[in-house]
Amino acid sequence: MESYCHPRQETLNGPGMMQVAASCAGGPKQSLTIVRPDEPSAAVPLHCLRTCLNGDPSSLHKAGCAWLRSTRSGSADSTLLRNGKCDKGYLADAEPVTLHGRHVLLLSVDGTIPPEMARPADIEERVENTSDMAVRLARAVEDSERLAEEVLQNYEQLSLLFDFTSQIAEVTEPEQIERLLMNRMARLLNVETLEVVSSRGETHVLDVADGTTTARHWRDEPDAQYTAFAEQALLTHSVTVKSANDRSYLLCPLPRLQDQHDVVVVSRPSGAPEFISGDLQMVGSLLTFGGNLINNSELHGHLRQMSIEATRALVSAIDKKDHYTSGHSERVGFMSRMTGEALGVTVDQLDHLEWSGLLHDIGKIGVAEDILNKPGKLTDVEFDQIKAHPRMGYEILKPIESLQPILAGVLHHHENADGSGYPDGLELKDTPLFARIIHVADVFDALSSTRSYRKAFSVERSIEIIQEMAGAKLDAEITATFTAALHGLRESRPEEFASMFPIALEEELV
Amino acid sequence: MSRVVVAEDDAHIRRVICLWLRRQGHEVFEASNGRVALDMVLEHEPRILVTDVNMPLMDGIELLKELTERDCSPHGIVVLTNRWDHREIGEQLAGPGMHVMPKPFSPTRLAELIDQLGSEAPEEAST
Repeated sequence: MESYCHPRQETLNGPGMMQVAASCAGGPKQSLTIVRPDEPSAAVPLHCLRTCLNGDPSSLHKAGCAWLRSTRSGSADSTLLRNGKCDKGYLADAEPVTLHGRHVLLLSVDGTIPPEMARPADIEERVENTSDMAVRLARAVEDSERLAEEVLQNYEQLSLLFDFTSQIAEVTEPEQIERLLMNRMARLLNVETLEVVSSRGETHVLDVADGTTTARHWRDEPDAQYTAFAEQALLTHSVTVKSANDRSYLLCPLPRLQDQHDVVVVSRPSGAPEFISGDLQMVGSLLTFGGNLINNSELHGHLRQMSIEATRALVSAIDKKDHYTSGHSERVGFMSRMTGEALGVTVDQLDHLEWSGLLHDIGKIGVAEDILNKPGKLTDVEFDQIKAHPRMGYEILKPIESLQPILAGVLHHHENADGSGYPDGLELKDTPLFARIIHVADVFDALSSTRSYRKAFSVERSIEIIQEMAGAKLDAEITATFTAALHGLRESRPEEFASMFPIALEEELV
Repeated sequence: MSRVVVAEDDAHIRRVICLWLRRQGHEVFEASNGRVALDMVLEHEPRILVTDVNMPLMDGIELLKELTERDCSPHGIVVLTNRWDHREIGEQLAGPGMHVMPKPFSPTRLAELIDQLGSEAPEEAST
């Protein structure tokens, strides 16, 4: 009777094991079990297989093979080799195959074969067919596992990249961006160390495990070879790979301002996968992108700082003009913000409110100094000049696009609740919120400071006066909130409070 | 280590997911559509079900509905999908032990999620 084998099915049956069933026409059904040694590094040398085939399966166990079995239809599994002990059985042939970097043993195993089937030629043919099939199958499995492995890696990298781009949008400080960039890079590249070496001599070292960074001087690095190629990398603009001290290093420029660049140095220990072209491309694009973000955020910070300083200089020039109002604008800005915060104004709006308070008197630049500092009562003409300052401030600031949100506060900070104020005589319901807040802060600060025409009132007396003004002149709700917030400040930060209102506090002791 | 049923009609993606989960030490059963998965869940009572949404014969949403009706939903359910409306699907399905991950998913995060779902205290048996 002719005997042959063909693959019937393939199932993956738990980690590291593959079962191949082969059916033999006219003969007993058999299956092959492919057993991978538990130890990935353990080789199964051919001579062990031969020994095994000659009746000593324990040599296979010594070579790291865990177990091996054969099944036959209609009977219980017969284990041929378990923990090195051999059961009954007949090992026909074997061929070692490497699967996914591991040594895999392929064995074609025969159970009890009916005497009429046991002709050597039949067995030989069957063994040849099955082992050939198994080898091909193993190679196919190997290919598909390798592809699956690549897909997994690509998935991981893709989702890390997506994560990075969505998280980077949420951080604004250059240091935060740099830390996020370093952390993501370390994970994307699966590296053991990561440092940012700067041309300014400083190194930021990332703790890959916990994501924190520490700074040190990179020239303190004891390894001269490392220092040499870090120094070299600071002079070139390309990504390079170096190896030293059993490690491979990848060095990539991180663009900084003024045509300078830092160098990000990552390393893997020997034995880890080598850096590949894809790593270089990814690092290159990630750092160009991240570097530009860091630089833009730094530039943005510089510009913001400059505009704040320029504004403060301008404001202090106004305050200097009016001898008695030193620090007045700063305090009104501060107290307006404090009140707005207590009223639940949003953070973005708080910035606008503070600026509006800071610049509310900018129009006084157009009022003559002798009027501002006149000790006695003002004439109607002189008072009209004073009353022109809110509109003048508004006109000065109006051309500045970014200051549009603060204009209403500047223009209307002298409107009274009963419509008796200036410049437009608006009633409370028509007066913008910022203007109502600034009005309270402005009146309080005027009362608690010494003026050309009177001495300062004490803090408590000033509060009493604004409370009397609430309703007719000032917004009653804002006045109450202001008073509570001011008391809160006095209790929680007494030193700051004392430095803001030194004279009014002195008056309290009198 | 958990018993997991993976329902995914794309053989390559299924292979990738299963290879990954087996490597994490889980016991994995593969299903190529919702109907096969339903039978597997009923037979093997896995702790966790990982399912695609768009599948032939029975899709992931129908599968989850069937399981809920029979009161045999696994403890943890991870829905992997490449549909653009994955957020809406997540809101629609929201419940304890239910997680929606858009494809391409992060293998590390999937492994962490399955470990977490596997180690959570089992729900009290209903009497």
